[in-house]
Amino acid sequence: MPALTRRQRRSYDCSTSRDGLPLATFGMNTPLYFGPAAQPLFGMLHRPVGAMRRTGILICPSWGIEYQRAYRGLRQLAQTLNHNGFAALRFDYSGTGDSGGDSRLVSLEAWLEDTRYAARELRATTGTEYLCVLGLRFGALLAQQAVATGTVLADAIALWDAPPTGAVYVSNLHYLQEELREKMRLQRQRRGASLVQAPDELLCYDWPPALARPTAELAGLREDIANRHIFVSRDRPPPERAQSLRLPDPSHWGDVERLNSPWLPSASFGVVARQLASVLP
Amino acid sequence: MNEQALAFGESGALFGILSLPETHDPSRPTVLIPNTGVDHRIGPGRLHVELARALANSGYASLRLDNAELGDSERVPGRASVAYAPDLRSAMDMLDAQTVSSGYVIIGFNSGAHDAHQAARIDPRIVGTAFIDGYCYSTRRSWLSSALHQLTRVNRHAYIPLRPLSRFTPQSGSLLHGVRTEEIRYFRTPSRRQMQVDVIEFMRRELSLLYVYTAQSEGSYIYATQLLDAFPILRTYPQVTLHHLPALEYRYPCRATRETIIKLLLDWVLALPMRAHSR
Repeated sequence: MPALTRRQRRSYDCSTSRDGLPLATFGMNTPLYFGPAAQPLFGMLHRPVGAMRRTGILICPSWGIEYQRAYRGLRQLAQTLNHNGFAALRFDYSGTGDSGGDSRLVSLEAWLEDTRYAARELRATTGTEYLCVLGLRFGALLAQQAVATGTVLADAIALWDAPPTGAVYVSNLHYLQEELREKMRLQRQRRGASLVQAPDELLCYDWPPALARPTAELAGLREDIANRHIFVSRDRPPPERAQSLRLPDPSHWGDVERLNSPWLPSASFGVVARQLASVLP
Repeated sequence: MNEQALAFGESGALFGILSLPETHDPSRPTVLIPNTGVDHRIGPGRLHVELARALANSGYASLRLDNAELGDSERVPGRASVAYAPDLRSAMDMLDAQTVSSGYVIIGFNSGAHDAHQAARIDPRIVGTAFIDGYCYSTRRSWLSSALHQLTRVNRHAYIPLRPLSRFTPQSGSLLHGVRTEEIRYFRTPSRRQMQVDVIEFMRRELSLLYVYTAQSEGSYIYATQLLDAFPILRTYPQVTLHHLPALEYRYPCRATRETIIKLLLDWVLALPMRAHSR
């Protein structure tokens, strides 16, 4: 799929007024569209107010219901990173969030490519020399895969609440799905109807085979990547090789009662941003 | 169809995505879609995105917006209390200034229905409003039906009251993660008398009204014509449409559910009277 040309980029770039509509740059956050012209990816670039560090942080969100829960939280994280001098880019994978594309047609392969586009966009728009990819949950597995396969050239990877492996992650999602089904059965007092989803849906989101199968095959912490690993979690002990960062807030990813509760571990954001500031240029 | 990210409101604190059809007709109303609960502008299961794109493909512009302090919107300077109707008004002001449309339709799900109602009360630019799982008012029949149901249930210990005194966003404050109590936005259902006054005002202004009750309102909205029994004046109003869809669960949407809701809303928007279009 062809990438946006400079001219097309300008028409999608929201910092450029289009059709006389107001500019969408507010504060130091700039929404932007980038990547394939047919299915532009949506991102939000956060620039620090003062001096900018030489490392930019690319934030890879999680998938589905975790993405939704963590949206405002990752925004807060990006702003906390800003306060510590980092430029940060949040983005939506194709077929998710505000990005273009049909959620039924997403694939892990396409999302790895999206990550490459996002990394390139972050470097191009901020001019940062170094790149740290920070992935949350599914995003951690994806970020690591992107770096391991050379899709993204990163100098550091921060894995936040990374599942042990893709298989464990998928298995947990299915477990949550069953819990949700049971919860809804109990809630549906009158008719006793339950959640009926198609085989390619999971926890209310499309989960097509091109995403499901390769996700289940994603490795846990990979030993074959030379980059600096920063393992961020409260509940899981860090692997031996990784630099570890213990968080003050619990995560609750496996709690069906919190499926719709925002993930906003404010104290942890400060801890992570300060740690990254202490080890990254 | 093309999409644009827009900042608007006081100091550009608010954020939204405007979806425009390929050939945009400014004489058609623009559809505003406020947040559902605390989900950001994409809606539960990306419902708002798919709805906005379906509207654009049918020739209607729409704005999916983040209310203040939700999604990518900031706190609005100088605003002391949490009220989202002003955010919708700010969106209309911005779109008016750019002559994107004349007249607005608001589609609100759950807490968004509350926002839609409050905005429609005060803003004459609104020509139609869809309330999905908005306010519920009990009637004698709904009360009796619920009481009977409770009495005949085998498992009665898990009693859930007919209607909570207030509904709030997000739905379960005790389960919030790192959110302070004062950050939870409560909203109150208007009194029956106030609702009656509002409905009469909507009718006077000839608003197109769509009320949809899904499984989300199961404990409160019991039978198909409950709204009409609670507010009989609506029976005489030709521009009200009411759907009771107890099998639909939009909060945990399957694709089939999303498609059903989107089709229903699209059909309603397309059938809006031309009067609305020409305002």
